[in-house]
Amino acid sequence: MISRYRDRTVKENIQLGALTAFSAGMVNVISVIIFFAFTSNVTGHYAILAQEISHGNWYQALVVFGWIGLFFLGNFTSNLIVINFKKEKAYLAHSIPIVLEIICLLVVGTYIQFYYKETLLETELMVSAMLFAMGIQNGLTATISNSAVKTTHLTGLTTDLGILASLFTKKENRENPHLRNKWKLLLTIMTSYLAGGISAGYIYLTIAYNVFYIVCIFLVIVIGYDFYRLKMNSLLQRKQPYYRKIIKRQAPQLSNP
Amino acid sequence: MKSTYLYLTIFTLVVVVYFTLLSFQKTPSDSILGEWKEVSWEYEKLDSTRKADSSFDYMITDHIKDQISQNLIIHKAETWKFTEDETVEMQGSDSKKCFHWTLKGRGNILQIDGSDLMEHYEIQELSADRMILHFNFDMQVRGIVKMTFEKINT
Repeated sequence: MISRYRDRTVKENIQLGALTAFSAGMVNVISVIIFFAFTSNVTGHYAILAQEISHGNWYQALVVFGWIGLFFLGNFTSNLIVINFKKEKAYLAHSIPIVLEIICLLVVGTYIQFYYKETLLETELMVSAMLFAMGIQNGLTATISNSAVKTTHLTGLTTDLGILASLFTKKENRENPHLRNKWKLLLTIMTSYLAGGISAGYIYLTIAYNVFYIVCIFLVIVIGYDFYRLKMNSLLQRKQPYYRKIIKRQAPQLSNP
Repeated sequence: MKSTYLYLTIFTLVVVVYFTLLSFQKTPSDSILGEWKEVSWEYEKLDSTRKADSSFDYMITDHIKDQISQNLIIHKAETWKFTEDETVEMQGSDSKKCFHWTLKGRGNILQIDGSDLMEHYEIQELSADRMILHFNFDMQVRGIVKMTFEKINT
């Protein structure tokens, strides 16, 4: 899912998109429920920033500017890690940003559970941490999938879906595998994001702040899945000479019936 | 190496300027402190059927106000006193109630916490002498009520 940068398959992108979009949808809904602020759609924050500036509410404008800045910083950080560590170990470079995201979400979840006094400063800081986490996630998925997967960018995704739907009115486009795969990927991301949001809303009613830990589990699956595959591959490669010997030994018997 | 310094300089500058500007601003939590007197209740937004009627009075009468707020924490509250310990004292002509208050979002949501009820009001304006709150209702007509307050002491 995250170990490969080049020659990525559609399946890998769909898996990555589905899991990360589901997490983003959960985080966004939970932040609206608890903090009354979105944490994965920055377009809305730009509109709010403009509105607050026009009303002369400079404190609120600065807070929103800070939130946008942290989303930017999240994207910057994840890409910085990827481009600096990619040459040595691609898997490590791609998993560090997810580990950072998990840490951010764990800090938010734990703080809310044990220390949150519902002050405005706390709310602003928690939203900041979540926007940073979402920036990291969006930056990472966009980088490793060559911008094919953007899990928090639903404006662009809906635009692409609209364009694709119109392209599919022509038969040659409907038969184009590249366009069909793109449609599948975008639809998966959209559905996962929505499903994440809906389930967060339902889950929150019963397990409250523990939703953050569930999001972290999804992110651990993203890292763990590739770790398992890489480990299995290396084990198989190590054992290959042994298998070759067995095949060689068996080969004469097979050729001489 | 040169670009690293450039990035670090820009980052430090942005952070310093940002927090300097922020330190000069009064937070909504500070601005809301004090005693506020309710001066008007108006319909801010209504369903289109009522809008078509040009003679429709947007001011809410005491009778309608009483009906809308009947099940709300703010029922019969005429003055709201916000204190630093996050307590809001609501005083009416013949009643006095205390609740916990807090601000959410970017300081645009006022949360009032009763013993078994929690209500949220959207702060549309919060200046030194005026506060405007909005809340959704569906009593008789669906719409948004605009509550205007004036500060009576600072």
